Amino acid sequence: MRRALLVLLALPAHGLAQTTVPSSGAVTPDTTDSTTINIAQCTGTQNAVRGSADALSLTLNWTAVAKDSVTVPVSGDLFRVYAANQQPAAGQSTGTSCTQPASTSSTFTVNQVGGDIDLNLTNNGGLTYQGQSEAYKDLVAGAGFTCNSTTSTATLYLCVQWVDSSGGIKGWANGTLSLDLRVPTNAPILAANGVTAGDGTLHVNASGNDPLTVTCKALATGDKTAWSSEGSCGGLTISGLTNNVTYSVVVYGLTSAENPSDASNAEPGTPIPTDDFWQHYHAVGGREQGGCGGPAGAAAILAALSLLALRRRKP
Amino acid sequence: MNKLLLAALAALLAAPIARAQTAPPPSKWGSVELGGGGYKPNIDHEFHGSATPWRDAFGGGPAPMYRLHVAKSIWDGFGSLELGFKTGFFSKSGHALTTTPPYTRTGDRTTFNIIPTSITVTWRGDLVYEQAHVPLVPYVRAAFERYNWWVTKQGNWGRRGATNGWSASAGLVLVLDWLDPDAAREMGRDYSVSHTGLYFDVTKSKVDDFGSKKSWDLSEKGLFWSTGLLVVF
Repeated sequence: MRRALLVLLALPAHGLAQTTVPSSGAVTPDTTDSTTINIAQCTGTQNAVRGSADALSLTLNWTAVAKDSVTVPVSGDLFRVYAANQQPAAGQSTGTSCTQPASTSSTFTVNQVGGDIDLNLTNNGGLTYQGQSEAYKDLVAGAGFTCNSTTSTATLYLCVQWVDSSGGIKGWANGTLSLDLRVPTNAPILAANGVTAGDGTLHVNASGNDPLTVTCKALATGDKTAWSSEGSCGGLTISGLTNNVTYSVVVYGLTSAENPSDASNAEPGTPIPTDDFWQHYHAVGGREQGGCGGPAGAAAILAALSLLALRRRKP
Repeated sequence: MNKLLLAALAALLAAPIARAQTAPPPSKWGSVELGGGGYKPNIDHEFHGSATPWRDAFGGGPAPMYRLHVAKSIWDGFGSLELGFKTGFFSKSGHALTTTPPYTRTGDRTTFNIIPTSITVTWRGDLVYEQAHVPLVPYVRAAFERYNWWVTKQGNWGRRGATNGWSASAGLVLVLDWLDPDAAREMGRDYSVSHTGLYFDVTKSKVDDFGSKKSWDLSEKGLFWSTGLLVVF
């Protein structure tokens, strides 16, 4: 019994620790990592709007597919991560994966990212490995992309090659990431009445003003600076402010890839103390004292429920 | 137009009579109701016009109060007498106000929430349908009410409490069984459902800790009109 309980208790923790296993022949970012590379990740420099919310590196997991007649990795085998600007070739018998293009219709740029990886990675059985950390910007550079365009999107092809100690190809895994460097052309608009006061807070109602803007963040600057959470442009709240201090508020739009727009126009806002309904009711002289209204009510309800329960037991 | 209404009413009354059954109705377990109506507490009443804290924060309109009533049949003679428990939920969101006059609305949100609980005694004239086959069944109900309430500001809990009182209701059930007697019989056979119907009722309540001078008035300002679905088992 005790052992069964322990097993039951352990099950959820085990489930949480599991990483999604890529299908055979696939390399994928860890489930916690973004599959779309934004400007901050492309350049390796976090912007002020998103800050550390943009992780600059990701973790790759893969399940390789073996070349014909190959079975399991042996000591001395290595993995190599490649980034390319178009789909690499993958031949079950030839093994010309990763460094050869699937099509020669355009220039194929491919480079190995990082060094050779030995078999000390976490192995989940068979050819499933997890935990290879790479910087987004290294993958972008490997595929030959640059980060200076603010209008482009592209697909970045990942390829993991499994080689023996002499460089002979034994297997591979393929995957993709998206590169999205688009930024909103227009900054959000903050109307004159778009900032309303709260208790230590400012409520901000802005218009996104650009088709690429899907969310917003607001910034208050005064005796301190404070950001709102990212959310709907029409319902942002900046907390942790000082009452009766005037702040200057601006709003930034963010694309689906989390690229920020320029700042909106600035509007002032001054947090003030506020009363909830109960406090206001008492401020104008309300007589209710709160509390449970005497035990009679609860006792009556309990008595009636008991009566119902007793009746149910009768044949 | 009046002739059309009279014809529709005659058809409503005549149709079930044509399908009259001679078997006596089976004894019932009880009933379940699910419904609601627009509710606005009479909190501003105590100020006699000198202040309107409810209106200041929440405006003048009502908000829906949803109710679930489960009742056990305790007597099944002349109609059904039931003892029941009713609960539900009410929530109204408004604006927090400035702390000094003139009290004006701010950007902060405040909500007033109620989980009403009631012990009820209901008499329902099921015999009107079961014996006279008229699909409009009257009922009356008396209840002990206990409104458990709490206030929030920006999602954070503020004051909470409970206010007791009473209520009396009268209503009509439009029995739906006659619309499809075959389906009604199937429901009875498969799920022990005696009747299903739509109810419409009106309630007069007095929820002010029985007139306490230290209590606010959570009674509905006028009459509480509600509607919903009734299933009799």
